[in-house]
Amino acid sequence: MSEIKLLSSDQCTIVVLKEVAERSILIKNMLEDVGEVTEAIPIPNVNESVLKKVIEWCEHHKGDPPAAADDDSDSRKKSTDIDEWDQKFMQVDQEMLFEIILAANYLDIKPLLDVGCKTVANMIKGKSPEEIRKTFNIQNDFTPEEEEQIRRENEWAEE
Amino acid sequence: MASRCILLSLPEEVIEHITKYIPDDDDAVLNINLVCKQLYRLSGSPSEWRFRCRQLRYWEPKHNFYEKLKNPFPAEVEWRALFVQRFHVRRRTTQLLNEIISSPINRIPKYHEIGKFGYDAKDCLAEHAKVSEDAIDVLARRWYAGVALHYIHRRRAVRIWQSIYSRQEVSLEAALGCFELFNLKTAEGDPDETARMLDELAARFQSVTPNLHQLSTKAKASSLCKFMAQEGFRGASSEHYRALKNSFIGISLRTDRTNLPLTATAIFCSLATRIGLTASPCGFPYHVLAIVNDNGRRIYLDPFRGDGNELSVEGLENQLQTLGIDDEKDEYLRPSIVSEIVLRTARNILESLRHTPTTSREPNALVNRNSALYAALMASVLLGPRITYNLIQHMAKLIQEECPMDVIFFEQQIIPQATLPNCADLLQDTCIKLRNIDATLNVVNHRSSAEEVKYRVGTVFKHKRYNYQGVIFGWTRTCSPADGDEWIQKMGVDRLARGRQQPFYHALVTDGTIRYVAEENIDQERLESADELSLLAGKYFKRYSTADGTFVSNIEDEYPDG
Repeated sequence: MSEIKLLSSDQCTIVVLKEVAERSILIKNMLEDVGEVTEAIPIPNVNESVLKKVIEWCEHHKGDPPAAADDDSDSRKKSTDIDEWDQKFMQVDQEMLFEIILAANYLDIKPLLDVGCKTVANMIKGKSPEEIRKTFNIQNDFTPEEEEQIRRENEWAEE
Repeated sequence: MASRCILLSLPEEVIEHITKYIPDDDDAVLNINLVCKQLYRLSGSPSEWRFRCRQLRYWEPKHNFYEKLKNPFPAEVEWRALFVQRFHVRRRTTQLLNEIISSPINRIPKYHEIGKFGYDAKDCLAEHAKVSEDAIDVLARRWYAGVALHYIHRRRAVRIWQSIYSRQEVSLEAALGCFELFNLKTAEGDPDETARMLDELAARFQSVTPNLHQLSTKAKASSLCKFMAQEGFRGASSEHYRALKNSFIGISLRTDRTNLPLTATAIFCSLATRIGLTASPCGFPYHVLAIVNDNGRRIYLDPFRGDGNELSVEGLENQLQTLGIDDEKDEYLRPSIVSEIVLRTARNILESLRHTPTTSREPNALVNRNSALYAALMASVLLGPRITYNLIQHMAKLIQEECPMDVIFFEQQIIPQATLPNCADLLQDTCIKLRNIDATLNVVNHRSSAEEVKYRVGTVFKHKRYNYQGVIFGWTRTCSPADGDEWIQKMGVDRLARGRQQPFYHALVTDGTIRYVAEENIDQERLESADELSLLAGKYFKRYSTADGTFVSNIEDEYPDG
């Protein structure tokens, strides 16, 4: 089975099975366009530790059937539907979690992006606005009047 | 300088993707817009709120939901406001259902509050009605969600019939679908689905009939009749003519498609209207026919026979003559109005009930006899010529046993229509009585230390003599039936070995009946699974405990010690 080399943003070369790397649609398309490559493919937006993490995910999921592409269908899964291995995989600090999401987005690995987004949604779930601000270190930039206005938008409007 | 927030540093489309995964019933789905301006902007585009609304299946007609869906520009519809409303309906419905499950007191006003949400509460109740086996109150939750769904359906039926009474335009299939609503305890099988099935059938007829628009009215009507026969609609055989289900158009459409002249005609007319014909039923004696209007000329057809032949007016007049009808023949040959067809269906149902045996009780029968009877009585009360004492008496008995929350129909719809003073009094008395029962806790039955009552609430047993299976949901220390001595005599209680001085148990039996059983006839059983009883047990029990082999009580208020 053929291997290819990836070059992380911090100039580390990582050898990986072609089949595994092709979980990334970006890499897959690139390989289709250039054909055989011997030198390392630069992945300028992803550093070594994140890239290794992403490859770990791709290796575990290399046999997965291709996902249904259509997002706006009834098949959209609930955020709680994350398989056990992925849940463990995502038990990383917030910085790494967001790095993985960014990398999945850049490398175009839709299922990994979904798992990442679901994980963040789970961190939002059940929290009040103040708790969400605390969790993600967000500043409240509303005036009290604006806040009151939005609160009304969220309330039950009796007809 | 605040430290950077990595969440907000993500590309905006990724942030939007994250918010999509917040569940529909989580507070954060709404409240995330209060976090900061950026999240306010990114927490749901109109098309995202439209998507969330589309996950909900049932809507009150006032929303014009399906019209809104057709709008190709999501931004032109207030999708978020619509979702916000449904979010709160779901929240409140769940809260009310939880209260209904946990306390037997004041259930009626709670059902009424759920009822006011109408179909907007249906999706939520449907979820509770299918709650997973792991829920600690699975049986009770499924049961009471079903009771609430059933009430919402009856409420809709009563409203539709009332709008017919106040001379609003109601389609034939909607008017007849009300009989089904009285029978419907699950979310599925709604008359709205019947309407969609009719739409599909009409579309299929149009696609399989070449040059339809060039055909004459008569040819169109005739092909439609034959098309129905090809689609499997056929008149019920004389043997099954009186089967209760034949009076229900939705059940006919969905099951074996046998029908009565009335149902065949109703389906024909609903289809004919959809393909642009003007068709109405005709209340011919003993056999409803269809009339298609051809520029003022009446074409008579018999969809029950399904041959598509036009019936001659002379032939029909001769038949009337044979029946002894000389005058006012047109009274029997004119198009019927919707209320007449509803009343005729009610009469058909009462006929069926009279002619089919009551002994064959099937808990899973397509049509529940009491529901059908109640529907027929309600139709007669709301649309019939007058409200009689007899009708009210029957209805009062039915609702007391099965659905006390329906006092609201008495209070709001029927009392204002009841002109006879004795009827009005009976209605008032019934309402006061049922409201009082609902507001009062039943007598509490404590066990004493030297316990003489052997079996506990929740015990599953087999009757030693009659072999039926049941579960105990109450007891008395000695035989004290509601009907007193008369029952004791009739049942021969004194011939029992221990006579009337032994504990007697209230039991729910697999055939859906309630029995009162002497302790000496109880043979305690352990069930591997309690499927049959589980369908009924939710009224009194939270769940079945496989470990204990008994049902877990939900009536601790009445029997705190089991």
